[in-house]
Amino acid sequence: MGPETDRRQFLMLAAGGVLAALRPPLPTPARRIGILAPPPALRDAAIRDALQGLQLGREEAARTALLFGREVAFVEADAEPGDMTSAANRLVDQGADALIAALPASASRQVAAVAAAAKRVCVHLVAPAPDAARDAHQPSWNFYLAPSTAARADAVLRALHESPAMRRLPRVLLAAGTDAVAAATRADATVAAALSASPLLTSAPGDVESRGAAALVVFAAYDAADARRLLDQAGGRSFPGLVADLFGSTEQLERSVLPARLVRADAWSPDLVRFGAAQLNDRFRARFGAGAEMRGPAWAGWFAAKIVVEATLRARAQDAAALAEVLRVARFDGHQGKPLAFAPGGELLPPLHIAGSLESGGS
Amino acid sequence: MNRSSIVTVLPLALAMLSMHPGAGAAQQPSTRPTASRSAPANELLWVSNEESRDVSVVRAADMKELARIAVGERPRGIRASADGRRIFVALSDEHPNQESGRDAIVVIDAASRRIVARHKAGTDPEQFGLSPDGRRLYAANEDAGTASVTDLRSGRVMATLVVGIEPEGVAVSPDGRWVYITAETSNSVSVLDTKSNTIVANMLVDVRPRAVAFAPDGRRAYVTAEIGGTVSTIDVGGHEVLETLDVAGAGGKPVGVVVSNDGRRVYIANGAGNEVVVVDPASRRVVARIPVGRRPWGVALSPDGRRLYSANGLSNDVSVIDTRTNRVTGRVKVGTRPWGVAVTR
Repeated sequence: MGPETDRRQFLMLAAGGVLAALRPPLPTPARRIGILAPPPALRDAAIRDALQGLQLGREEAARTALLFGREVAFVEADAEPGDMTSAANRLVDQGADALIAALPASASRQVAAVAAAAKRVCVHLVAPAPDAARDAHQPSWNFYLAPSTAARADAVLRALHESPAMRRLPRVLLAAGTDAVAAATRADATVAAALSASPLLTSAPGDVESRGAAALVVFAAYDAADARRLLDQAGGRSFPGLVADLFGSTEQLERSVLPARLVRADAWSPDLVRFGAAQLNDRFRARFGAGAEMRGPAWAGWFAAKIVVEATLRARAQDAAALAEVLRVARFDGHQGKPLAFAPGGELLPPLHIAGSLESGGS
Repeated sequence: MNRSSIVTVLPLALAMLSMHPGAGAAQQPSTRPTASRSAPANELLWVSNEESRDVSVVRAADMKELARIAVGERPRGIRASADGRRIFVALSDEHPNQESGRDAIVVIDAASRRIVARHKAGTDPEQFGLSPDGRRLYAANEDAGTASVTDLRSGRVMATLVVGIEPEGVAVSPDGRWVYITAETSNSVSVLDTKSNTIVANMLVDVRPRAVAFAPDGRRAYVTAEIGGTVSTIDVGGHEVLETLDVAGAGGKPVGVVVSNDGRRVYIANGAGNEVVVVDPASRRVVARIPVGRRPWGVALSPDGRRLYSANGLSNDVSVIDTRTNRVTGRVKVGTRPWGVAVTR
C-alpha cells in the first residue's frame, strides 16, 4: 500500500479480507426492498441523481445490516411510465415489504396508491408530498423525501424578505415555464403576499432578458428544461438580474449556466460541511468520482436506503406494518444537524439550505 | 445597565435558572485564567486544538497555559498513557478520503514536549483507545469505516477490522478485554475482542453515536448520541443496551463522556447546549447541568476525580468543574477550536 492510498482500494482490502470472516449466521430472511424507476432513457437529471444516491445508500445500508446478521435484498424494476401500477404490484407479489420510488409526480401517485392498498411502505425520492398528504393527519404508508414546493417557496421568500438586495430591485417579474401556469399563478399570490409586490407574469424569454437588469425575477419554471431554456435565452451566467428559484427548477442544472445571483432552497448541497455533511459529500465523491455532486435528490436516495434498513433493524417484528410504524415515529439522522422525522401525512421536514447568493457570486 | 435591559434580562436569567437543575450551583466562567485551587502542582492538561493545529499544555493548579506544541495537522483525539509520560494525539490531513503519511497518531513525550513517535492508523483517525498495558492502540478510521489495531512497540498495524459506517468513538474496557467503537452513520457500537482481534458483536444505539466510556468496574459503558440527544447504558457482560436516557435538554447535543472513579456519576459534554450534564446512573436521572464555555466537546477527569475539564470548541477555552460542588471554578484560554483534553500528573 503506497503512502497515498485511494480510499476505495483501502476499503476493498479491508472489507474483502475481513468481512467474510466476520459475517455472522443469517437466520432471518432477507428484507426485500423494491426499487421503481423509469427505464434509463426516460430518466431526467433528478431521477439519475436520486438513483446514484440510492446506490451509495444501498451499499452502506447493506453493510450496516450485515453487522447485525441481517440481509437486505434490493430488487429493481424498470417500468414504462404509464404502467407503474403493474410494476409496483409485481414487486409486492415478489415479497417486497418496502418500495423506493424514483419517479416523477404522476407515476409516483400510481405507486402510492398501490402501497396504500397493499399496506407496504413506499419512500418517494423525487416527487414531493401531494397537497392531500401534507394536510393529512392519518398515518400513511407513503413517505416523501423531496421538499414540497410550498416549503421551498417559503424558504426562498423568507430569504428575499430579509435581504437588502431585494429592496434594491423593486420590479418583480414572475417567469414561468410552459407547463407551470398553475404553479405560477400560485406563486404570483405567494410573492405578492410575501414581498408586497405585484409581479408581472411572463413566460417570454424576451421579457426576462429586457427587464432582468433591474428586476428581481422570481422563477417558477417547473422542470429543468424550462429553466434551462429561459436562462439560456436571458443570458445564462451573465444575466444581470437576481433570480429567485421558488420550486428548485434549477437544482439539476450545471453551475456554469446558472446566473451569478441566484437564490434557491435545497434539501441538500454538495457544499455543506457541518454536521457530518462533509464526510457524506466526500463519500459520494469517492464513490462516483471527484466531479460528482450530491444534490438534493441524491441525498434523498442515500437517506431512503439508510432509513428503510435502519427501520428494519429497529422494528420489533419483521412485517411491513412494523417497518411503517418505525418510520412514522422514529427520529433519523441525515447529517442535517437535527433529528429528522416524518409528519403524519408522510412528508419529511428537513431543514432547507439556501443555495447561492443574493448579492454576488454564483450558487 | 439601564432599566430596559434589566427588565429584558432578568426574566430570561430566571427562566434559565429554573430550566437547569445544576445551574444555580454554577459560576459564571471568568474570561481570565482562574486557579483550580485543589489541583496538585504537577497536574497538567493536554488540549488538542483542531484549528490552530497544536496542543496546549496547561498547569491545572493555576490554570495557566505553559506551552503550545505544534503538531502540523488537525489534532482531535487525545489520550495520555497510564504512567502519564506519553501523550497520544490523532492527526488527520485535509484529505479524508486518502491515507497519507500525515494521517497518524503521534506520541508526545510529556517531559520534553516533543513528538517522539508517529504511528500509522489508517485514513482520517479521529478517536482511539489505549490498552491498559500500553502495548496496543485501537483507532477508528472514520472515512474507511474500519478500526485498526496497532502494536505500539513495533508500530505495526496488526489488524484492520470492518465496523460501522463513520466510526468515531473508541474506548477500551478497564481490564483491556473489550474495545467499543461507535459509528455515526450506522448508529452502531461494534465490540472488538482484544484476545482474538475480531469483532464479536454489534449493538444498535440512538442516532449519531459520538463517544463511549466504560465505568471503572467495567460492568457498564455509556454511549452518547448527538442527534438522538441521549446516553445509552450498555451491559458489558452481554454487550446489550439496557436503557437510553434523554439528556440533551433544549438545543443540546451530547458528545464527549466520562465516568467518575466510583462509577456514580456520568459526565457528558452537551455540545450546543454549552453545558456539562451530570447523570446519576443509579437513579437514571440528570442531577445537574453546569454551564461551561461554548460547545464543549471532550471531557476528562483528574486522576483523583475531583476536577472535570471540558474543552470548549467555540469559546477556545477549557473549563474546570469541581465535581463535589458541580461548580465551575476556573477557565483558561487555549488554542483555536479545542477538541479534546487529557490529564497527567
